[in-house]
Amino acid sequence: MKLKNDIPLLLLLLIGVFGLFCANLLIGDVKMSVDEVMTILSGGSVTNDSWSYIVESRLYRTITAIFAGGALGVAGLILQVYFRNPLAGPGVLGVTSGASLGVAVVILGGLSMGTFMGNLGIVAAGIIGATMVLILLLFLTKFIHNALTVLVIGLMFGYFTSGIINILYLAANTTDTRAYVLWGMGSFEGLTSFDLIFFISVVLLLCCLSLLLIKPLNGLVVGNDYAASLGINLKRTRTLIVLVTGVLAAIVTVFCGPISFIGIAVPQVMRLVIKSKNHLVILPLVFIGGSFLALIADVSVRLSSNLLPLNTVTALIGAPIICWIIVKMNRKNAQF
Amino acid sequence: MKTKVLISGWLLIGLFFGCIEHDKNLPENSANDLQISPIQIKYAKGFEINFREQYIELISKSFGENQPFRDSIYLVTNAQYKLPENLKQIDYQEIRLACQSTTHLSFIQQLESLNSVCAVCGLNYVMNAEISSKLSEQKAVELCQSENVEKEALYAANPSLFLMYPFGIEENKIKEEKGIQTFLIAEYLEESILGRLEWIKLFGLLLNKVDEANAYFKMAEDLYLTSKRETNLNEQRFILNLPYNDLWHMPAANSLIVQLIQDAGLSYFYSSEKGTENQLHSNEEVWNDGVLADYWIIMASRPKDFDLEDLINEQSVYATFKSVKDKKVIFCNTAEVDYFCEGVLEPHVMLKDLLFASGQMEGHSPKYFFLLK
Repeated sequence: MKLKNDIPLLLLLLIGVFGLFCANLLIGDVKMSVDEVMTILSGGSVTNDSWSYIVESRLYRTITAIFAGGALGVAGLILQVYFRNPLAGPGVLGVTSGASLGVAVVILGGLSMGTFMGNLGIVAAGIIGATMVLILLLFLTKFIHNALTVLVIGLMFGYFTSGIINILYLAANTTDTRAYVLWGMGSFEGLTSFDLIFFISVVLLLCCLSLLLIKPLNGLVVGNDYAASLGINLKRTRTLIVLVTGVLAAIVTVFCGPISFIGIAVPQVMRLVIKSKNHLVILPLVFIGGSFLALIADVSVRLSSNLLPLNTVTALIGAPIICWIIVKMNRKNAQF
Repeated sequence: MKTKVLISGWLLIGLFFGCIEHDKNLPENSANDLQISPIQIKYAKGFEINFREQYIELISKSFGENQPFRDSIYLVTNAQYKLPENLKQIDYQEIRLACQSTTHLSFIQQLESLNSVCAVCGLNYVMNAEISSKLSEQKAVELCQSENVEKEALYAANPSLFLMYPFGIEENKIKEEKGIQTFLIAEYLEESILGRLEWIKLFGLLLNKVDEANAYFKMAEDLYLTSKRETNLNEQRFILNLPYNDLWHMPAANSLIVQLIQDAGLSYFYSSEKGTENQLHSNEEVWNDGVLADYWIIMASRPKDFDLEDLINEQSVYATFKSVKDKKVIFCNTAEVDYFCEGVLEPHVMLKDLLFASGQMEGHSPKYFFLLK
């Protein structure tokens, strides 16, 4: 394991994430000094009572961005390796759409997002929606071997679920449609301390589970046959992939809305800069890379006084990266 | 040459005046003529009513910085007089109205003319039970299943007049395709509360209820102006509403709702901000300001028994707001009262509600605004 080659990158990313973490705590429409922020963080009081809530909100939002970006990066990486396609990701394969459908069924069905049962129902529905799409997709890959076709089917899932969501939308009342529209814009803001603990716990648990996929992923990079020859249980691997990526994508989608592009763009960019081919190195670095990109997006949103929706910022950052990947893929194909 | 030019000039002038139809050539007034009481416009800027000898001209128009538009419709008062065919005309014999806004219904209901409504945009969202049941009784149709006016539904309803917004629909096309007359109604663009209410006079003319409209406006105006008075609350500042997607859409300082609350003696926290559009503020800004603002006035759709505790449950930071600590949150539950439509007709009631809620009036039963307990 040549970790030392990637130590500079790891340090750089950690410094970047720490810098953005601090920036996210300090930047905002209400100007506070470092001292005031530190006083609040250490439990002290300041002149304006609302400031402790403002700092708390900034802190929760920053932590959410770190874990959401990391989770989407990891889910994207695993899917890209499994489907052997650099354009695979929770968004493109329809996993996010599946989660969105689950959320839509619950929200537009009238269950409030504010209540505990409502939130629990939404989480469960999101996970069911995401994993259902993945299971269906994995089933279809038994018959379809062309990676591009799989992507197109994933996109079709996305359109299909959007169609169903539109029908639900038309039947829902104005309060529910409003709640769904707000959720759909994406945001790292608004998680309560309970939500945040739940969110972090699930993401950490799934990321730990993804460590079980390191050996299979190292084998799958070369191909299914090679992985099988290494003694990797492909069926169990597939199940674990569905579980890890489905739940990761679903939990982020449920709490932060359907966030686009991070899941595709981060693994691609990170693969270019990471020297190691071992997923034990790649996986944590992709997590931190995802956190880094999500924080950049969130800082941008904050700098715009929250006027820019999160998905607009991630699209502005992610879409050019994906275009560049497609151009690169075309060049590679043209060489054959 | 000079003489020829002079003669040609005189001939042209003669020809020009010969084409003008002078009033003296018009039919004499008869017993069948309409007798319409005079209408005086005091506050509204978006419409004009011009009384001519043979007809009355209603003009709906833009003003200020609004996108320009102008529309006219005529009411012939002399039974013998014929308007040119290309002009839009009100026919009291057969009034079948289609409305693009449910706000129009409030004006029409006030004038007890709901039986003239055959189609409405947003029929399913009419809050007023009386209006809703009356419209359902007379089988009025929904014009907008989605956000847009469905032309087929409009054509099937075949109204004699379609009252519509000035923006978004090509009114000429509707007239060209099916001969349905349209008239632009833009009461929501008015710059004053009484100006918006004054549109009832236009509705009165459209519905042959001028006296009723004049009387209602006079009553509401008197009550409003009487209630509006100098108070000792000028230093008490207020913020408005709740956030939407982490953003607070604060009404502009010159908006109607801010004027109404200022008429109740309170000062707007964001009064220094210019412009006519809503001002966007982040959560952080409003949380920071909420600690200082004396009153918090909220118009929102919430469950029936929504209280202060429910409000704090939405965001715990609200507990730090001065208005919440002092129990000076004034709430209008738009799920319970028809603030957006009926409220337009009752600014005097809303003003009294605000005075009562801010402790400046006693013995009043609030309808729209009340103190959140």
